[in-house]
Amino acid sequence: MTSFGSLFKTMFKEKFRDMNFFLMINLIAIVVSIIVTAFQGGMNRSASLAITIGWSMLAYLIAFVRLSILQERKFVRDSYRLIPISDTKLYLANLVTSLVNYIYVVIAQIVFYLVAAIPNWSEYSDALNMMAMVNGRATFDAPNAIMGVIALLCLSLVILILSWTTISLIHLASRSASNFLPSTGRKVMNIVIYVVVILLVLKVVGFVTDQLNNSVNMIFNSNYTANFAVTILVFLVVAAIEAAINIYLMSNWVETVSE
Amino acid sequence: MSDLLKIENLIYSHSLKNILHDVNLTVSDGKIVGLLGENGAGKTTLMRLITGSAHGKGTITVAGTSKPAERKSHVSFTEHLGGLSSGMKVGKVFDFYQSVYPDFNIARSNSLIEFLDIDKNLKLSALSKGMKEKLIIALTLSRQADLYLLDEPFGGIDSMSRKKIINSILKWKPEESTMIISDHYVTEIASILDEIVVVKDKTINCHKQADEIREDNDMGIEEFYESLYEGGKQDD
Amino acid sequence: MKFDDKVPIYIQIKNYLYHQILTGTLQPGDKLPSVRQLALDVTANVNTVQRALTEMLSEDIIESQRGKGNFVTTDVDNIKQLRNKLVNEQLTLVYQELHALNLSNDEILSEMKSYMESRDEQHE
Repeated sequence: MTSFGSLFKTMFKEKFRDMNFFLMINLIAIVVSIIVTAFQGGMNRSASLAITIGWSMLAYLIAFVRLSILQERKFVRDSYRLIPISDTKLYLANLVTSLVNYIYVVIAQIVFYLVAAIPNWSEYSDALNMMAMVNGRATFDAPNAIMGVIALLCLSLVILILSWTTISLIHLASRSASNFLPSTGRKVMNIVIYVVVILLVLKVVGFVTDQLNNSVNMIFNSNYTANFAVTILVFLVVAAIEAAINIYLMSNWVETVSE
Repeated sequence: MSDLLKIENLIYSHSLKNILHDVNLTVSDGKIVGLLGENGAGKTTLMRLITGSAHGKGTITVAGTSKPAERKSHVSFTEHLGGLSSGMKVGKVFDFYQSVYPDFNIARSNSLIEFLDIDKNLKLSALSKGMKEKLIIALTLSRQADLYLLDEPFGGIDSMSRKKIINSILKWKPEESTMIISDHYVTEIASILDEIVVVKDKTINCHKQADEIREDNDMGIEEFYESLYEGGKQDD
Repeated sequence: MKFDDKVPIYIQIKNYLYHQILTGTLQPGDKLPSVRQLALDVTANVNTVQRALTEMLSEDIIESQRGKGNFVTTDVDNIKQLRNKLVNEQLTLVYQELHALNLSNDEILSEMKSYMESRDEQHE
C-alpha cells in the first residue's frame, strides 16, 4: 500500500511546479506593466504597489481555478485512482496539497506587495495610523489588529476549504448520477446538479460576505470575536460533511474516465 | 497453485444498460490468459471492475483480498496514462510511478527501458502510438505485481514493436504472477497463452486451456474463437 | 519459432528440441537453456515449455540435475530410440497415405526410389 506521506509529496510537487510556473508568469506581467507604465510617464511612487495588487487579484482567482482543475482531475483519472491507497487518504492528500499550494501563492503575493511597497514605505505606515485614528483611536492598536488579521486569514482559509469541497461535491455527484441515467438525460441532470449546488453556494457566499465585512471592522474593534468563531466552526462542519459525502461517492459510485 | 483472481456473480450496468451479468471466473497464479471478445464486448470493463476503476455488484477477490484499496496493491493495469499532463517527460512518468507504487522495481524498470528503447527525454505528447504502447508496457511490468492486466497492448503498432512487447512479457513476468491480456485478434499472442477466456453475450462465454482446445478440437485458437461466433449466428 | 496453431504448443516445442538433439545442435550431455530462455527463444510461455520438458524428462531424453538445470541424456541408446521413433512416425504416415492410394509395397518402394533420384538431380 502507498503511504499518505509519499502520495502527499508526489501531489504536492506536481501542484508546486505548476504554481511556480504560474507565479513566474505573474511576476513577468508585473514587471512588464511597470515598464509600460514608466514609458507612458505614469510612474509615481505608489504605482508599483498598485500594479502588483491589481495583478494579484487576478492571480488569486487563477491559482484557485488552476488548483481546482488539477485537484478534480485526480479524482477521476486512473493515474491517481489506481494507486493502492484508501479513498479517504487520496481525498485528503489532494485537498491539503491544494490548500498548502494556495497558501504558498498568497505568501508569494504578500512578498510581492512588500517589495513593491519599498519605494513608498513611510507613506503607507502613515496611512495605517491615519486609518486607525479615523476609527476613533489615538494610535494604531497592534494586538487588536493582529487578532483581526488572524481571524480574517482563518475565515479565508475555511472559505477556501469549503469552496473546494463544494466544487468536488458538484463534480463527483454529477459523475455518480451519470451511472444511472441514460446518456440522453445526462446533460439535463448535470445542469440540475450544477444549478442546485451553485444556488446553495451563492446563499453561503452571501452569508460569507457579511462575515468578511465584520472581520474588517474587527481589525479596529473586537466585539465580533465570538460571532467569528461560530462562523468558522459552522463552515468547517459543512466542509467536513461535504468531504465525507465526496469520499463516499468516490468509493462507491465515481468511475474513472476511460480512455 | 492457488486462486489468484476470483470473480463471483458480478453484474455491471451503466447508464441503465446492462454491460456484464453473471460473471464468474477463477484464474490461478502463474498463468497467461487471453481475454478475447469483440470490440465493445466488455473486456476493458471487466478489467476496470477488477482494478476498482468501475463499480459493479458481486465479489472480486485478488490474492485473497476483496477490499478495493488492497486489491489495487496487487494489480498492475495498463492504464494508458490518463490524467498525466501531456507535457510531462517520459522520465518524470517513471519517477511518478516510483513514488506512488511501493512495488515499483527500479532494476526491472531500467532493463525494460533499455530493452524497449524508451527515450526518457521525450514528452508524452511527442510519442508515436507504438512508443506510447511500449512505455505503457514498461511501466506496467516495472511493478512487481501479482496480477497484470494488459488491455489491448498491441493496438495499432508495427510487428517489430509487437515482437518486443511479447518478448518483454515473457522475460519480465514474474513466474508466480498471472497476466491477463485482452485482444480482439488472437493469432499474434496464441502461442504464449495458457488459457483463453471469451467475453460474449455480456458474460464469460468460455474459459479453456489453450492446448486443450488444440488437442480436443483439432483446431487453432483463432479458429475456435471464430467458431463461437458462427455457432451463435446459427442459433438466431 | 513459427507455430502451427492447430497443434498443441508443448508438442511443437518437444519436436523442436528433438530436432536439435537429433541433428547434433544439442549434443549428449549438453545443458539446455533455462526454461525462461527457451520460452523466449520459441516465443511460448514458461508453463508450456515446462510441460514439454516434463514429458521429455519422463521419456528419459533429458535429465534434470538439481539446481543446475536440464541436460541432454548421455545414454546414446535413448537418443537412438528417439530417432527410431521419429523416423517410424514419418514412415508410418507416408506408408499409410500411399497405401490409401492403392499402391503395393513394391510400387511404394520404386516410387520412393525414383522420387529420391529426381530430388538428388535437382539438388546437383
